[in-house]
Amino acid sequence: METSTLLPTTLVGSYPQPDWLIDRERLGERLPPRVPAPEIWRVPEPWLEQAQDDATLLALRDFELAGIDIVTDGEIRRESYSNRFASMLGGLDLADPGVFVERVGIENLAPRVVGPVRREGPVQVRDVEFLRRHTDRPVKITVPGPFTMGQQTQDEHYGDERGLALDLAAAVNAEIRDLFAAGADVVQIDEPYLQARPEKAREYGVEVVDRAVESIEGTIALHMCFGYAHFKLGRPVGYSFLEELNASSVDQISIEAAEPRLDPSILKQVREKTVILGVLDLGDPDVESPAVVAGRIRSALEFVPPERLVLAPDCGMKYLPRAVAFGKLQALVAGTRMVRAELGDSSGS
Amino acid sequence: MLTYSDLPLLPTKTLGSHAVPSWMWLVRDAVAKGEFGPADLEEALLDAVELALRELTEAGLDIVSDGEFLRADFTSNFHDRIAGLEPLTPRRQLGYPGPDQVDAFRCTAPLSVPGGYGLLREIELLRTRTTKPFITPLQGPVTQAFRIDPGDIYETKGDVAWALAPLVNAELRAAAAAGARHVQIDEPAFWIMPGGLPEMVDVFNASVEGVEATIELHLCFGNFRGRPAVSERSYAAFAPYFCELSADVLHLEFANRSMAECELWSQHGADKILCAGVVDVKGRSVETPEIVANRIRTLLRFVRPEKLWLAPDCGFSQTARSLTAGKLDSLVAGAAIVRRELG
Repeated sequence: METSTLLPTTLVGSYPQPDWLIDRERLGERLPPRVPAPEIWRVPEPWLEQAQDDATLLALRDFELAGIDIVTDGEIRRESYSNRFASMLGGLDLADPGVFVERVGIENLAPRVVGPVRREGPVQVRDVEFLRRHTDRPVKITVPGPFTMGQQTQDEHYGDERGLALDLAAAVNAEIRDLFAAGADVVQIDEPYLQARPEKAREYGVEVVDRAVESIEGTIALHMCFGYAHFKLGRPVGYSFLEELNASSVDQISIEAAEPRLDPSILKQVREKTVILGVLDLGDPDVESPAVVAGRIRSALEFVPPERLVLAPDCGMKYLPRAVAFGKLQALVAGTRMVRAELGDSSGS
Repeated sequence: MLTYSDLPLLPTKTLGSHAVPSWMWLVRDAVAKGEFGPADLEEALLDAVELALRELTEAGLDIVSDGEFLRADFTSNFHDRIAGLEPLTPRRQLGYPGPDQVDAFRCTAPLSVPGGYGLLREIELLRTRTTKPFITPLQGPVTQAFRIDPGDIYETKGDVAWALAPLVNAELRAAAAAGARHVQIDEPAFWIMPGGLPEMVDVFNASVEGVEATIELHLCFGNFRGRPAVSERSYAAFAPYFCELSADVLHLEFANRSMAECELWSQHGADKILCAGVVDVKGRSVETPEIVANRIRTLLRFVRPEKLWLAPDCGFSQTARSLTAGKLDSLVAGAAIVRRELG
C-alpha cells in the first residue's frame, strides 16, 4: 500500500515520548543508549508495555491529526533507534557492555560481540501489527542498519568488521522479511554511520546494506544524517557517502537537509531513487512557517522531480518538546500542500 | 429536543467515564508527592482523553465521550467547583467499601459555581478531536446534594438540590450554546428528595428547562468501587413518573439486575427513548456478544427497536481496563447481531 499522493509526507522515525512515560532529563543528558537504558522509563514493569502502547497511539493521533501520509510508530517503545533491536540479538553481550567512540568523539557503552551474531526471533513484528490494527494509513517501520550497528559495538569475536556487519545484515534481513509480512508498507534502515564513517562505508557499506535487503519484496528506505541536533557539534557541508548509494538496492534515501542548509544541487547525485528530504530543522526550537517549508521543497524540486520526492523532518524527533514536534509536522503538511497546489495537485489539501 | 437524525438502529453509546490506564495511577501518585507540576498533570489528562476517544471510536460506539478524564478525582470533581462548601474528612478510611468512606461536604455559604462546572472546556476539546456525536455528562443537582450536609445554610438536602438546580441549568444552557448536542444528567441518588419522586421530577425538569440539546437522564443504583450503592434496586416506584420527566432519553441499568423490570417500559415508557444498560460494568468477567444480544432481545419484547439505545449499565471509571475493552466489544457485537436479525 504505497500512497498515490504527490509529494507524500512522512516521519523519519521517532517522535517525542510523553513526559509521564520517560524521564526526559535522563534521556537528554546522556548520549543515545546503545545498550539497555531502563532508567529512562518513568513507568515500571509490568505496566510499561501498556503505557508504551498508549503513547504510541498518541503519537499516531498526532500524525493523523497533522495529516502525515505515511506514519510510523514514533519509536515510542525504544530508548534509542537501535538498542532495542540490538538487545535482542544472540552473540551480543549488553549486560556487561564494552565501549565504542561515538561520532561526536565521546566514548559510550556498547554491546560486546562475544559470538556469532544471530537474530533469535522477531523483535518489532508486534509493533507493526499494532500499527496496522490502529491505522488505515501506510505505515513505515525503522530498523537499525547493519553497518551502523556494527560500528556501535566492541568486537571481541569477529576481528573483521565486514564479517560482523554481514552477520548483522543477515539478522536485519530476517527481521525486514517479518516486518513486511506483518503489514509494513515501507521498512527503513537507519544508517547514520555511513555518513559518520565514510572510509569504511566505501569499503563494505553498500555490500552489507544489500545483504540486509536481499530478495526482499517491498519498499526499502535508508536514512542517513549527521546525528541528532540535540547532540551534534558543528555543521557539515555535504554528504560524503551519497552518490555511492546509487549502487545499492534500496528504493528511497532519507537525508537530513534543512538544518545543515544543504545545497540542494547535491540531490543530482541521487539519480533514480526516491529522496526522502528533511525539510524540518530539528535544531531550531521554533516551528518554521509553512512558507519556509515550501521554499525548501521548491529548491529541491529544481534537482529532483516531484515523483521522486517525499518530505519529512531531518531526523527522528525524539528530543523535541511534544508541542514543537507537532507544530513542525503541521508546518510540514501545510508547506507540502502549498507546493502540491502549485504543481496542480490538490490531493490532501 | 432530540438532535439526532442519522443514528443507526439500536445505536450504542458510552455513559461517560472510561477505564483508567494503569499509568494514570502512577501519575496520581506523582502528583500527590509533588513530583508533577500542573502542566505535567495536564499533559497526562489530555493524553487520557485522547486514548479514551480512540478506544471508544475503535470499538465502534456510535456516541462517544472524553472518558471524563478532565474531572474525576484526578484533578477536581464537581464539588471542588462549588463555592460555599467545606470538605469533611471521611469518618472511615480503612476496611471494606461503605458510604462512610465517601468524601462529604458541608455548606458554609449559599452555593454558587463561580467558574462553572467545566463543561465548556470539555466541549471545546471534543469538538476539535472527534467528528462523532459525543455526550456531555453532568452530575445532577440531587446527586450533587447527596454528598452535601446543609449545615446552617439550608434546611435539608432537598433545599441544597434546589439551590444547585439553577446552577446546573445555567451550565447546561451554556454547554448547548457551546456546541453540546447531547447532555446527560447523572442522578444515581434520585431517591433522596424529601418530597419523594414527584419532587425529583420537578428538580430535574428545572435543571434542564430551556436546554437546547438531546436530554438524557441516567438513573442507576450507584457504583462505588464496583459495587452498587443501594441494596434495593428497583425502578417500579419511579416508573409512573417517567412520562413527566423533560427528558428525551432515559438510561436505566438492566444488565447487573438480570434484565429485571424491562416490562415497566411497555406501560411507562411514553414516547421516550430507552437507553438500556446491557453490559454489566460491575461484573468482573466479560459477557459474550451472544449474552448481550439475548439481553437486547429481552428488551425488544417491551420496547420498539426504534426507541431503543444500548449502553453499559454505568460509566467504566471503576472497571478494569482490560474488562472494559472486552465489554465495549461485546456491546457493539451484540448490537450488531440483533440489528442483523431485525434486517
